[in-house]
Amino acid sequence: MSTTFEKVAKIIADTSEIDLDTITPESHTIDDLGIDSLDFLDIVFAIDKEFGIKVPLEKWTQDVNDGKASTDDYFLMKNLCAKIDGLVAAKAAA
Amino acid sequence: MSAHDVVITGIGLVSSLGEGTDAHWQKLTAADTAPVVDAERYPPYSIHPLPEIDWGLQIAKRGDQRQMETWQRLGTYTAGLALDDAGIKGDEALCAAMDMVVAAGGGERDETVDNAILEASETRNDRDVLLNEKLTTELRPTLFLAQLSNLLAGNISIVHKVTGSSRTFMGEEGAGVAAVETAAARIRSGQSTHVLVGGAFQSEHPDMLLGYELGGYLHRGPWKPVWQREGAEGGGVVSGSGAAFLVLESREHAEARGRRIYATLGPVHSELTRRRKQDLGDAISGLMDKADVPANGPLLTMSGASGAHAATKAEKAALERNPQLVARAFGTLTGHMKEAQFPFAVALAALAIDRKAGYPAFDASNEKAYEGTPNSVLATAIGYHYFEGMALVGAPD
Repeated sequence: MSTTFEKVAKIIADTSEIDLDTITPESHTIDDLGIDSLDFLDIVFAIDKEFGIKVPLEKWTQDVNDGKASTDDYFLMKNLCAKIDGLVAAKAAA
Repeated sequence: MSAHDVVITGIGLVSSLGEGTDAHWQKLTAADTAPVVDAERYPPYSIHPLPEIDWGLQIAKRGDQRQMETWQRLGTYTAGLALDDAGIKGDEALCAAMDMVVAAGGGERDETVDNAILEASETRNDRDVLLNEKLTTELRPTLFLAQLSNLLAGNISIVHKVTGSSRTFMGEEGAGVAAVETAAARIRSGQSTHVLVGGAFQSEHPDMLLGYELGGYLHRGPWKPVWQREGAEGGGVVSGSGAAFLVLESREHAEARGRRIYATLGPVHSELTRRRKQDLGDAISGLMDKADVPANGPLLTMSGASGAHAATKAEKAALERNPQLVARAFGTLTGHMKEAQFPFAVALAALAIDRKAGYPAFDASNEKAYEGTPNSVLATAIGYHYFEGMALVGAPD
């Protein structure tokens, strides 16, 4: 079974023009991979579908804008995958 | 001759006949060209489908292609053909100063989402909540953008970097007429030096056919030429996927950069006749009077007639009232391309001027023979439902 990282990396590669091999757990989706805001909307949409969750993108953006979190917390691949795992677990527990 | 004459220096065409000016000229001047008709996919209706297109030739980024559906891709692609043809594509300074007027319908709806909403609405009463729920969770965000009319122009700006002023008109054939009219008027008044103008129509989608059929306009049963659909089952329109974009320039601007001029574009005349109260044939004749048709000799007329019974009958009668006119209803071979119909008519008129020859009859039982070198060609688009427009296209000198 693919890991969360593998699934998310595949979604990113399928959606934007980023080579799958260049995506690592340490990649920053915006700063390193250069995903633009429109592509990011579609990526989050595909993540929602793949994992059966609703990524609270607006809240994350707000947290970053309010200085409560850094973009690394949400948009570094390994952290993004951990958040997704958290959302999946929260949904399963609900 | 004036510095602000409107001249045509670039033409982009796509239809079921192929893509580009050469392919269209060859197909439309060959005596035995048969229409490309698909009667299988949307029975009982026939359509003229798009040819195979390698989108990457004009829309290099996969991400850009993904954010559009076929309609926007088709328009963006065809706009690229016109820019290429005019020698403007990739010229940053010319693109940045170029204005744009686009005739647009709506993009394709997401059938799966529509069906999911209808299905769910059978078991739920909170339909307002349901609608928002489905739209926010089921509709891929950037494909929502693909349904926005003004995003055809937006995508042309993004992909081809045409970033002067931008206008989008809606309203079927009338939008195409108004787009060309406005672009030409801007050049004539000195407000624009060069303008990209045109439209696209993607017919191969159920909601595009539904748009016609709600008014009972679609022809049913075996395909027939435009002029022969009166009396046949259905409403007479056979739609086609296609697009036409033109690069219009002031004569001064085109000559200064040494571009080949296909033809000049005279004033565009348009009318929104109240067809229930006013005779459409008289209105069309009135437009012809304004178009300043040359007094002598046969006049090739590229007619955008749709086949819609009442409008096509009125146009035919009006054209026959002037024995000089030699009509060619190109919709017989391309189908009705709605917003793209008038730009397409103007493009075919300009090609005839440039190639110094006419087109053979597309329907020999209803269209007269034409011999000789056209010095002027009339282009018409009489809306299948409303709006009428025409313009005289002339030789460059």
